[in-house]
Amino acid sequence: MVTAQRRGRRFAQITAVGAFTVALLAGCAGGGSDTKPTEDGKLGGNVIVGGWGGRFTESTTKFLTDPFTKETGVTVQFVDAPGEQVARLAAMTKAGKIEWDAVDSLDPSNAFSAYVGGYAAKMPDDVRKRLEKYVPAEQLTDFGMTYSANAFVTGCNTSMVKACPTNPAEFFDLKNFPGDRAIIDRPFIALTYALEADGVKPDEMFPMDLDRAFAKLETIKDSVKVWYSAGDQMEQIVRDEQVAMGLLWSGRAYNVQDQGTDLQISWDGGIYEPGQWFVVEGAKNPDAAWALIESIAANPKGQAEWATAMSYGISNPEAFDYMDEKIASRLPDWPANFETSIVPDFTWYAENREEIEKRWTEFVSG
Amino acid sequence: MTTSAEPRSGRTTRWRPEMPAWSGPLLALPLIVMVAIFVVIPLVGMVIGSFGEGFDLSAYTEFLESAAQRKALLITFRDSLIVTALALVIGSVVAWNLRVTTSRVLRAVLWTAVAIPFLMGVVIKNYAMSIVLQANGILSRIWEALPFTEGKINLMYTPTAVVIGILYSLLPFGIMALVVAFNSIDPELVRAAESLGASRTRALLSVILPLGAPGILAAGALIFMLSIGFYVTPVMLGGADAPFLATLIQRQIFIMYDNQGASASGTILIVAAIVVLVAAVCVVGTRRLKRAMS
Repeated sequence: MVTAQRRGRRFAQITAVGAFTVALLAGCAGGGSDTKPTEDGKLGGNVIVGGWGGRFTESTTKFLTDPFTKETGVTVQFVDAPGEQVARLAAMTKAGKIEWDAVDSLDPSNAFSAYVGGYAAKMPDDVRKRLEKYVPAEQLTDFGMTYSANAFVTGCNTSMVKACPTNPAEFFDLKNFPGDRAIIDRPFIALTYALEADGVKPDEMFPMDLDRAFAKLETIKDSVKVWYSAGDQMEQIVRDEQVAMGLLWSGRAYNVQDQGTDLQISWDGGIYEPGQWFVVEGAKNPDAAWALIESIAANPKGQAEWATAMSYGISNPEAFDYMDEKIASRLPDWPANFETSIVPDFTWYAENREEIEKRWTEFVSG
Repeated sequence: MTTSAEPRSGRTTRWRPEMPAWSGPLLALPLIVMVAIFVVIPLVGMVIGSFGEGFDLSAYTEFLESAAQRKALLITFRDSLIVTALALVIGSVVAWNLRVTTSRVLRAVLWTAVAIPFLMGVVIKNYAMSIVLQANGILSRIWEALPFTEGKINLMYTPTAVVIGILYSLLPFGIMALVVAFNSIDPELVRAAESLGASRTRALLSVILPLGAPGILAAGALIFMLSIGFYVTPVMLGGADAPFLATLIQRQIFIMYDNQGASASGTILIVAAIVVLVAAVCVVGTRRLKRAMS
């Protein structure tokens, strides 16, 4: 086991690496415009957002932040840091120089780590009150607004097997539902799925009984032919019939279905991944950053266009009215989908990340 | 003038046919500095880091206690040894042909075949390989179409795919190293051996092979060392259940934030690699190596 002393030192090492990274980045990020709000309490300046880059940032800019800039005059500038948002935040905090004001749609594994690590600002009560006008209360976390949600669903190729599982319990029933399986190489998602299959109720699932979850996964381990890690890979193994069924990314599963695979998609026991828009702790322009998040919440039309382009979830249910029903009904936030899905406790994951990941490596690769 | 024979001493130094002893190290200084900065210092840092503060062996005991890490180390070495053996056999044939062929066309074809994978980007190379190997891929279709075979073959996410992928990447390195080694061997020796009654195979095995042994060993060492460090190919073509050690090191750093553990894994990988190389030198024999080198 890892001693507490080692863990502390390890953290120091990471932050040291981070500090170095920030020193490198400081040069690139320099030359930004004045980020301070104007004197009279009105919003102003610039909001710097840590984002995903590419098509993701393009869509966010076009549908969500441009309208905000038009309305308030606050400019929004994106910094691409795909997959390394938390590492950058850690580095900035270590260096004492916070460059970002907000983070766009960070996946919960990372977002809740950022919150537990103290890099995300707590949501002020007045902001929460205003957001609740547009966003369902369960979509607001202690620190952010759930946006761009993803989900994992039970998928099964009806042309390959006689019986297709439609929920987690059936997926783990090898006798009645034989066939090769694929599961995402992400411990927290897979373990949640296993406990669902074992009959644990969502409100009793966390803190997680890891022994029980691993034992349940062990029962189907031999039938899991691929532990996939990337979306492309998932599509390929399902399309090429390398596996008959899987715990699949919802958006990707629909992609494969659209391309002609007889894929049955079940939302029963689906796993909801709440991506987060949040404000950075110690941000230079927090008021404008919160205003940006409020503006996104209050812009159902923009969200609808964004979701149509990106196939990720939205936060304002009114957005469904502006969307094609076919697209809307595929989103994790669509009421029929959301009701049967489970939202895992990512705070618990963030606090127990190391143990979970270590045991997972032993389980999958040992 | 009769006194003109007097040397113009003090103005010019006497010309020496050999360079002074210090000029060699001086000319090599930039390289020595580069190696120190980019190889020695990081390596020493890694080894020191693996012991944590003081002399903390916990990262090493953790490594030995972890079935996943031990298995990954074994897989890394097993697959790398297979790759090395295959690359040396295939590479020797190609390299010897490049050495002896008089056909310009054959030479051009062979060099092109060597150069293409050598110049391709790592991700493109592996992606191309995944298209070849997947269940509906080229290889599987050919297999299906053959009269004496049945069904599809699916090599993706298996150790075989990893071996094929690494072999494809490293064969050019092996061939180039072997061509250099074979260039110092006179191909006429084969004819000489044959004139004394040896078959072609016998001549190649008992004349050319011993002469080429040091070069083959060097090529093998190069391939092996490159192979044990592979990261992209095992991730893209292999399964999560049979990773290379490099994959686990990546997880240790970026998911578990365990720099000390990652350093220990790296140190173990390098030490184990050195042991394998020393063993290889012993097999070839130091005497034969010395003789061949001189």
